[in-house]
Parts: sequence; C-alpha cells; structure tokens
Amino acid sequence: MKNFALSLLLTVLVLPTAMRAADHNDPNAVNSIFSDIEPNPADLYDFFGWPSDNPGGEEKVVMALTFASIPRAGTLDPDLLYRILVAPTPRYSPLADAEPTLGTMLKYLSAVTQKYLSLHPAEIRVVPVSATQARIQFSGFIGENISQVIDLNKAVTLNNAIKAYVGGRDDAFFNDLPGFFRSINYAPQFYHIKQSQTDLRELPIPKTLIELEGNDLFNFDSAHPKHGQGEKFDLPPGAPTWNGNAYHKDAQGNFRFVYSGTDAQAGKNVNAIIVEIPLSFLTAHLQQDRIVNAWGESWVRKATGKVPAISDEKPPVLRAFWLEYPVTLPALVIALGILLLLWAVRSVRCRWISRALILAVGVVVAGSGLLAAVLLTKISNQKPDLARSPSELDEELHRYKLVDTDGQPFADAALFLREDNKQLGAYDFDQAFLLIKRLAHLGWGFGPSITALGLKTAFDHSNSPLPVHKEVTSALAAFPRVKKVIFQQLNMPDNSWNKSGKPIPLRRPIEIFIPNVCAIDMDTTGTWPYGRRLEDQVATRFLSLFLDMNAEVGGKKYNIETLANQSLWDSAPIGPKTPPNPLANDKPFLTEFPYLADPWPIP
Amino acid sequence: MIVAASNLFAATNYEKELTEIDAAASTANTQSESIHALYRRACLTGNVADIKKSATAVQTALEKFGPCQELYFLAASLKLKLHRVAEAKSLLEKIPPIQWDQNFALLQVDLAEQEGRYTDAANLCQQTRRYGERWDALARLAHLDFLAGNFASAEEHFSTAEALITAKDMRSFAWLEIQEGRMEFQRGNYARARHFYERAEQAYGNYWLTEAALAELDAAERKFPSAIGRYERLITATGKPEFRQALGDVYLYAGKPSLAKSWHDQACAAFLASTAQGNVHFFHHLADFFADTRTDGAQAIKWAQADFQLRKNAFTADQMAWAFFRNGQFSQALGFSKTALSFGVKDCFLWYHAGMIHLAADKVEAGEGLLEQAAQLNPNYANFHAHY
Repeated sequence: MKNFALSLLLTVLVLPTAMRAADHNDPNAVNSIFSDIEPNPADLYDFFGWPSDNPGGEEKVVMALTFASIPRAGTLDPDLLYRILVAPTPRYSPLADAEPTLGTMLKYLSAVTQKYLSLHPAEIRVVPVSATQARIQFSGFIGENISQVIDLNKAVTLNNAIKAYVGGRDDAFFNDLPGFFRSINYAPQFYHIKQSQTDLRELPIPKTLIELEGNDLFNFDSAHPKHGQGEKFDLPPGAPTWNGNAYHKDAQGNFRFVYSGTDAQAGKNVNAIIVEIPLSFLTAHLQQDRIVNAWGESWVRKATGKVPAISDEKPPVLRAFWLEYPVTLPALVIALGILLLLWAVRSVRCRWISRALILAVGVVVAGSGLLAAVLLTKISNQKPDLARSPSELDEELHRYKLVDTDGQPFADAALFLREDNKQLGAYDFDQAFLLIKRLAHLGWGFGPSITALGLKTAFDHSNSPLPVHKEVTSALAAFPRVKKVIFQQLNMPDNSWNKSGKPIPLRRPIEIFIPNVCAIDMDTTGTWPYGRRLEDQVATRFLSLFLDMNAEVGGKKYNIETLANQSLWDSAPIGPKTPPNPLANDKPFLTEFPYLADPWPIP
Repeated sequence: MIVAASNLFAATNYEKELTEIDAAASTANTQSESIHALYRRACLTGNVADIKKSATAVQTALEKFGPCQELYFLAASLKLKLHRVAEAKSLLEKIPPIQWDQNFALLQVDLAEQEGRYTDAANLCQQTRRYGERWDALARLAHLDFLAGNFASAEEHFSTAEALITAKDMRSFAWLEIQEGRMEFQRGNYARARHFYERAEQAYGNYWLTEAALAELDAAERKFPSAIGRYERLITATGKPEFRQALGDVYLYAGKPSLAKSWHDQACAAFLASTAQGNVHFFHHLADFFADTRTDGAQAIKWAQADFQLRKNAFTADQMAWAFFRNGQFSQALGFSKTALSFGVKDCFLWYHAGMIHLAADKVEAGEGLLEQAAQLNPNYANFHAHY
C-alpha cells in the first residue's frame, strides 16, 4: 500500500510511448485503467443515436460520438481523426419467430455478413485543423458532399439543413462503472495492473452481482470505501483466486450488492461530435430505409503520417480465404466442370445418354463456378477499412491508423474483452462464437446470483447455488445454456418506444451486438436497443440480458427496465437498496441541439 | 489555454522535450515524480551523468520504500545502460514471477544480448509477442536479425515496428529510423542510410542521436567539413567524450593528425576520469581508443579485459582479440577471435578484425576468406566509422 503513488507513476515511465485517457475502458491499447497507460483521445466513450423529437416535422436523426476530453474538454488532439459511419437500410428481421438453435444463429450471421459486406456506409469525418477549429466533412451521402471548417464548441448549421457541434460537453454516460468492474473482478480498476499483465485483468474469481464471502480482493471494504473508485492498491501477493462457498451476508442476513448506484462519471467532461441530419440527406428511400445504422471510429495519426515522404505498407487484416482469393475456389469448380465436359466428349464408348448427362453436369458445374467467381469477386470488393491495405484507403486516412470503434454500449467492454483486434465496428460477424462463449462465461457468474436474489435468469446454470468461474472453451457445448440469453426478445417496459405503432419486432441480443452498430429505428423513439437516447440507462439494461424475459415480477413481464425498478430492490434481501446504476445523468440534458449538457468548468 | 493548446500543433523536438522534462523535475512534488523526470532525462540524453543521477534516485527510493518491483525494474534498466550486467541481472531476479510482463521480458532480451546469448534473446523476444505486437519488441528483433545476417527479416521487422508508432511518439519513430539507417550504414548502403537519417531528422528535430549518425555518415562519405561541423556541435551540446574521439578520428581520416591530437587527448582524459570515478561504461571506448587511436596494445588489453569481465559477447570477445592483435600476441588474438566468431554474429568490423588476426597468425586462407566475407557484408568497411 505504501508504494501506491510511486507505483502509479513508475509504471508509466516504463512505457514511454504510452498515452493518457480517463475512460470508458476500451480498447486495451488506450485503456487508461491500466497503470501504465495514459488517458487517450482515441478512447471512444459512447455512441448515441435517436430520431429527432419533432412530430410532424421533417424526419431527422441525431447522432453523438463522445470520446476522452484530451487534452481538455473543448480542445481536440491534433493527431486524431474521428469518423461516424452511417448506412440507412430497411428494417431487417431475419430472426422473426426464430427457434433458438445454432443453425438459426448461423443463418442469421450469414445474412448479416452478406448485408454488411455489400454496405457502402457514408461518412462524417472530423479532423482538428487548429486549436480552435476542426474540419467536418460529409461524404457518400445522398445529399451533396460537404467539407467545412467550423469553430469548436459552437453549434453550427451546414447547408441550411445539418446541425453540427464539435467540442466539449458533459459526459452523458451515467453509470456505476466500478460496480460493473467489481462484478467481473476486473483487477485493473482496483489494483496497479500494467497493460502487459494480461493474466491479471479479469481474475479467476466467479463473476457475480452479489459479493462473495471472503472475496477480499474485491468486496467492499469500509476501511477503504474509495477502493476501486479512484483508489488503487498493489495487488497482494498470493494466488488471486476465491475458495469460498457462500455469498457474503451482513448481520441482518442481507446480501451485499456489488453495485452502489453511484454515477462514476458525475462531474466529468467529454469531447463530442454531435450532428442532427435530415433523413432525406441520408437516403432517397425514406419509406423503406427506416433503420439508420451508425458507428464511430477513432484514428490516430501514424508517425509515418507526420513525415509525408514515408510510405507505409503494413499488411492489412486478413479476411477469410474465400474473400481474399475470390476466384481460387470457383476456378477449381470451373476446372472440374471442364474436365467433366472433356471426359464426356472423349468417352466415345459410353451410351449417348450418359455422355449427355455428363455434358450437362459439366456445363452446370462450370457455370456454377463462373457464377460463384463473379459473386465472390463482387462481395470481396466490399472491403471494410480494416481489410484494406493503406494504399487502398483515401489519401488522408492512409496517414492514420484505426484505434477504437464504438457502436453498442458494452459490446467492447463486456463482451469482446476490449481486445485491440476486436475493434471491428460493424464487421464483427466472425465474433459470434466468442459472443456465445463470453455470454456463457458471464452467465455462470451472473446467472446464479440473479437466482439467489429470487429472480429468474435466462442462463441455464443447472441450479448452481453459487456463481462459478468457468473458462468456456467450446461454443458448441455452451450454446444450449446460453441460447435463451442470445435469442430471447427483450421486453420493453411499455409501448411508448414504438411511437409509430408499426409491427416492429422486439430486438434480441444477437441482433443488437452483431453487427456492432447503433441501429436507430426511425419509427421508434430510438430508446435502446432501437438506437440509444441520452437518458437510457444502458448499463442496467445490459444486465437485463441475463433475466428470463418470460418471467414476471409484480404481475408484469420482466423487461429491460426491471432492474432499474427501485421497488424491486426495496423488497430484495440486499444492501445497498439501489438499482445497480443511477437513474439519471448528473446534469440535465438539453431539450434542443446539441442535447448533451454544457461541459463542467475546467479547473 | 489557447496558447497551451496551440503548442499541440507544433512539431516535437529534442529541446522542447528536454525543457519539459527539466520543468517537471524542478516542480516535482514527490519522490516518484522526481524519479520519473530523472529517468526520462537519462533515457533522452543517454548521458552517463544523467543515468547515474537517475540510478542514485532510484536507489534512494528503494532504501526509503523497500522492495518495489517497479524500482527494481528501473534500477536494472539503468544498470544495463551502464554496462553493469551482473548487477542488472541480480536486480531483475528480485522481481517476483507474478510481476513479469512484456517490459520485464524485453529487459531480459537486452540482458541476454549483453551476455552474448543471441539465440536466447531472439527467442525471448518472439515469446513476448504473445502479449501483443509492440514496436520496441520488433525493433529488438530487427536488431537481432541484423546481427544474425537476416537482413530481409530485419527490414520487415523494422517496417512493421514503424507502422505501430503513432504521431504521439515521434522520438521513438526517429530512434527507429536511426537504427534502420545504421543497419544500412553497416552494410555500406550510404544513400539508404542517409534516407533513414533524414526521416529521423524530419520526425524529431535536433536529436543528438540523429546528428551523430549523420556525422558518422558524412565522414564515411568523406564529407569532412560537414562531419566536423556536426561533431563540434555535438560536443558543445552533449559534452560526450565519445564525440571528441570521433572528431579526432575524422581529422585523422581527413589527413590532419595535428588537429586530431587535442580531441583525442580530451576524449582519453574524459574516459579515464570517468573510470577513475568507478564507472565502467567507457571500458569499451578505452579498449577501442588504445587499440586503434593510440595503438597501445597493452593498454587496449587492460581495458578490453575489464569490459570482457563484465560482458562476454561477440563484440567484447572481438575487442579482446583486437587488443591482443595490437599487442602482437597473435595466438591469444586468434583464440579470442574464434570465440567472437563462434557467437554467429555477422558484423563486417568483427570479420575484418578476424581476417587480419588470422592473416597475422599465418592462417592465410581463412584470413582472406574472412576479409572477403567482411567486404561482402559491407564493401565500404574500410571507410570511417565511429566507435560508439
């Protein structure tokens, strides 16, 4: 303990190249939760998106990308570039009335893959050009391309239609982040853990919503009430495990909640890019394209980008073989077809009917090969930026490297372990099996503690009385346990979300997280998961994934707001009696553009 | 606020960074902040006095706070910079296995290289990549590839490392360019070497390391006025005695021995003064100096032996061989030369020494072969090169 301050600083200097962020914790490369990583302006915090509330008026969509306020709120780092990618599409529900099977999941993934590989997202790009100004650029939209230098910290109107704001705001995220980290025994929030200490991130202790008896590394300690909330210690020696056999209970027999309901982001600022755009600028098919898919990206200038003479041909991320070499497999099929044709022609001793049959098969096979070659080539040309070599990017982007992506809250932080190489944005289709394993891993922790609270869980934990730390290695084996978590429709608390009254299916977790985009449904209010409104308590809603949406409490079906209901906690044998996360932001949101509250004064 | 922010749009350079570090040191409120600043300064200047000052601060902190893995790590890193290999090793052994990480592993790589365990170093370096790709690990791999003569692989590792460095770390980028340039220099590819050095200059201005590399290159290309100017500026800016030795060497190459003498005397006096204070950092400079500048074999052997006691690797073995060669003890020279060659390092100067020693020991065929190999590695190996 005595080395606390010293360690914090000394670990920083071991890695002189590291940068600094204060953070919502992803990806690991810029995750300042590690003692040797500084807060970093490439650390994207949140992506918000919802249809504007102007009944009867022109349909507009609001999108806001927030990120670390480094160097300070209202000033952008000159070496960063931010993008918001936008792709309007029709509402897409391939899982209507789906049976929760692995086959259904694979079909869904295949459909999503095809859809996104042929998607041409338009782009809003923001690049700082001076200490007080940034260039904002709209390209690829149905409306004309726009490129304009705007003042920071000032709402502006572009082309008499688009509202834009780039600059400092209050952090719109309200959340007990330390509580979440306590629930997953995430050591870097509580102890000095360096980025390279990969084995000391989520410690091998069962994840849980209720404190475990003897889990001294993470349980609330009244002697150090700020431990994990800004105060960090050296990790004590010894194996960082838990060998207990009970939940922790106080003298009154109540459980102790890992959450405190406190807003860890209170009083903190962010930098933000906020736009309000008419739907007609995004698509010509206003009646069909009801979903605005959007996600954010941060790119940091490469060192080579500051020395323009330098070429930078780093190898791109490799895609599947059939996408990298779209003609190879079809060529083999074509060759097979031609061989069949030749065989038929030369088989003079065969009966004519056999020859005709072989000829026909040969033609079909060769033709199929040709068709496959054309289709695969077409698909393979639809490359995500990650699969492009630097020379294929535009001249400006060429000089930057992608650091972070942000679509859905908790997709990175909870599901994809903040891995640097999982920053795939919309192109996360191949993460499906990881998603199964990760949800199962979380389910073995959260499931039993939900049951212990007297609630019903969607995860099949075989009535385990206590959370289990299980390294899930087989997605196939885990699927039966987790299928309900993945496939169940997430009930909404009432019908207010569906402002149009159209038959819009309830969303399922698989649809929410794959692809990892903010899919703003223009026929709804845009509340999560139909977008994300500023007032949505997404952290608590995320936990509701593990509730059984067929169950009822107080005569009402479980829904995404069940865990935010104070009366639930009032009657539960637990303390503190609070919903896991705060119910509102520390500062009221604005009713008009730019919607996010003004920044807090900078000391 | 606007003034401070606008500085972000200015280019980074050595003086700016040094000023920031010194400001941080002068306003440090805690011992840890002070250590932080001192360590950064030592890394930036590479100055022995700065390294020692930083090491002293770390040692004081260790005495005050007791065992602390970060302090052990820093102390080991500083000891290694000062060529105190055994002490560095002993400090690293105090770090419990649970705290081992990529930084720890990379310091082990440096240690292995200093101890001549080049294969171990490369293997360790490869192992660290499981933690994730880092430019400094790749730079070490590139260097080890270069020593092993795997130039294509070295270039590939350099190139991958380059792409990992962002605009936030232009000094590291410049450092990397200099290393790549030095690899080209040692292969006799002067144009390519200059290309990399100029990139380094563009990326991070007024860096003494870039200036030193360019000075050496200028001298090798017989651009003596430019080389002399650079070395003079380096001496003024850094006070490093090795640049005095280099300037003397340039004057010798330029055919002005009278001008060389004063610089050589100054360099020698500084090396010896440092050594008299108990420092070991200049042993290898003294060995080279007495072998090649003063051609004093006995003194060269003395300092080469002192260095060899600290670090047994291809280059210290070669230094021993060359010192014995200068002293006319060809049999001993041959023994050490064979030891140096046995490390498998493909270095043109090492092979040149080996060739000369074999010839002197009447191993004519082997000697000629080695000289030919040296020439293949670097057709310009006989040109000027600095002893640092």
